[in-house]
Amino acid sequence: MSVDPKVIEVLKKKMRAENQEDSISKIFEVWLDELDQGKKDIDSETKIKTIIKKINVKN
Amino acid sequence: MSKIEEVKITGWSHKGLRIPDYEIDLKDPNSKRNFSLILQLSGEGKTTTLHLLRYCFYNFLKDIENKKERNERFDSIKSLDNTINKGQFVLKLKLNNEINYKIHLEFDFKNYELKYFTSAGDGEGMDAGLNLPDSLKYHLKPEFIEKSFFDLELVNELFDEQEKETDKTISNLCKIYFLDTISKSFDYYKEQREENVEDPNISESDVRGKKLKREKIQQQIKNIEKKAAEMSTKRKSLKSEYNKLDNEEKKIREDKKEIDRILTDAENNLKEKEDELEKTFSEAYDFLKNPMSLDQRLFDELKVFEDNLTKKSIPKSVGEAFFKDLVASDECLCGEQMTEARIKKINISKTKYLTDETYTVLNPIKAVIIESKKIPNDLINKSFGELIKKEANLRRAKNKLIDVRKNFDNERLVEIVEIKTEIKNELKPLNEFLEDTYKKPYNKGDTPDEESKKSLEKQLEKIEDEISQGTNTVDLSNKTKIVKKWIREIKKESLEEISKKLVDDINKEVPRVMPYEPIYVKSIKNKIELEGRTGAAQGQKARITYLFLVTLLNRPNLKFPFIVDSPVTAMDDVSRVEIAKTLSKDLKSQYIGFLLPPERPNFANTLDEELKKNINLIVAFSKNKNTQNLIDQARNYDTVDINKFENGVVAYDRDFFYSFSGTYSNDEEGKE
Repeated sequence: MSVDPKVIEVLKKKMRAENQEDSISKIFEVWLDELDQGKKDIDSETKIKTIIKKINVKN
Repeated sequence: MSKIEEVKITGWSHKGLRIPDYEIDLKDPNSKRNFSLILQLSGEGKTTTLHLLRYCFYNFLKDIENKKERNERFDSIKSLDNTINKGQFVLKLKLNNEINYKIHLEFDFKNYELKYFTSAGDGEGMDAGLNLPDSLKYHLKPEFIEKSFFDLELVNELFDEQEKETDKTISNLCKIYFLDTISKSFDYYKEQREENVEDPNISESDVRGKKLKREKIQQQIKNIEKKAAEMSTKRKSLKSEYNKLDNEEKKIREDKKEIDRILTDAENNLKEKEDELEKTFSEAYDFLKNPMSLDQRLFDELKVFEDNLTKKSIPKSVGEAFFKDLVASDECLCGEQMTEARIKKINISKTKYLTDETYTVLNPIKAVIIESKKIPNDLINKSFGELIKKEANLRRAKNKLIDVRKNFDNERLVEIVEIKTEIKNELKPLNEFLEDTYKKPYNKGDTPDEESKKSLEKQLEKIEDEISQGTNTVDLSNKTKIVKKWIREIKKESLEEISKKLVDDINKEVPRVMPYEPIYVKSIKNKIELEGRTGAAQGQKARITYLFLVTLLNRPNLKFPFIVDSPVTAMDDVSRVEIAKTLSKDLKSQYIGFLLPPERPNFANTLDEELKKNINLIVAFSKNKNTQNLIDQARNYDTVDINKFENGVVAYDRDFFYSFSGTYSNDEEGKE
């Protein structure tokens, strides 16, 4: 079972529109997939730290 | 376990429940059979089975705190035999066409307890609890199950703006709500970081005070969300009950019109039968008035009598007064003088002449005898036969009129109106909370005790700003805000784009499914909105709902059973054919339909043809005195084993499925 592909498509489009790195999209994508699989030990903290670090706030 | 891509139901069994103790086996040759229709009579447990199938995927009791409501749910499943206190429902699944799973529901009706057991693989061992694979368990929320295993109640919800059921359904089935989980993780991360700040800008007690306020607001948000969810469920249930009553009222009123018509017809029929009887009686009476015509011997004797009268020139009428006058006169008619001897002679002879009275009687009789003709016996018999027939027709017409009058249950109408008023009163506080209090905008003086979500969210935002400034985490807070804003926008845009695609896909199918009166969908934001019209008939709404669900259920990569109770009720023949074609053509997952016999024409046979007979056609019914004629029907089919189950019959015979005549022996269908 997967998150609807449209959600991923919109996510990628949004990150590009916000001038954010593609890697941020990728982290979200992986995160959604892990939630989708019902994974219990998702490392949210590392993901958040990476996203926070990579966010381009100038735009 | 690898990712679950397909879930199929391979069968189920039940014992000690409201439904008979039998087992349903959904055959799946070569793992390529997706369709099953189960034909049942009304009141034979279709809805109960649908509920039990739902309960196999989530513990329904978890969400019901109210004891009375819990007990009511139990009682609706419990066997009607009061000596039975335990019941069992077992669902058999196949995951990814490989792994067998069994889910056991053990009901203790005495103590109102339910225990789950699960077994994976083909072994006998069972583990306590509902232990589906994680990747599946996480998704099988009640909202998802209720959409996948649906009855036509959902139709009204999807067309109701208040409930916003379309958005909720899309969000659930397309997993858009996962983005909320990510958003909450950012909040949690930020709060953890705030805890670890060593050099806050404000005193520790100030930080603690602000955090306490934040906790209070967060808790209040949880409380009101829970309250809103409960009220929303209650409101949906009340609206559903209201709609049912409304439909019943409309039906009674419609029936009243119909009954008026039937009553008039019955009265006219009675009048017609009375006239027919009168006419026939009149004809028969004509025969009675002419007894000669009834009997040949009488006819012959009277003819002889008349003949003799004629021969003797009788009757000749000479009145008594004539002889009195004659004997009193001086001379006789012959001119001779009237003497004593002559007077004596006249008095003796006058008796040979008829009196006036006798003449007046005898003369018409003679005339009638002369005019009488013998009527053929078959004509007489036919006339009296008609008399009996018309009398029976009149009796039937009278009984029909009595029945028609009995059928108009005016008391129920009064009761419905009263219950509807009660429901309206119950809905008032729910609507006030959900539409006013819960959505009230933020005001400067608002406190954490408010019940407005908007207000509490604003208060939370303010206090979080204060905390981030006080704890030197402004940068993190701002970035968290940015991420949460993105997530909100991604959610909104995803929902809009999915909805737009769904509307396009639905509208492509409309001309085929509704060829005579195509109704297009304008929007599915919050509710299904139709193009150029404010409403539609229930059957039309049901067809749109089907298209909406089939289109939506095909989007996720998980193929999960789509189960429908009374799938084509209130649909015309063309719609049934086209819905069957849509399902066979477009639905990628398993389909199980609980069908009533009147729904079978045009739907079952179309599915059967479209699927080239790759479909399970099953008939299930209980064994009791009322179903004796169904058992007798089943006896005619060699493949149907009527003795396999003690109090039920399950038949897999295609011919029996199509010939099954759904009437109870006493001609009264039960009610579920």
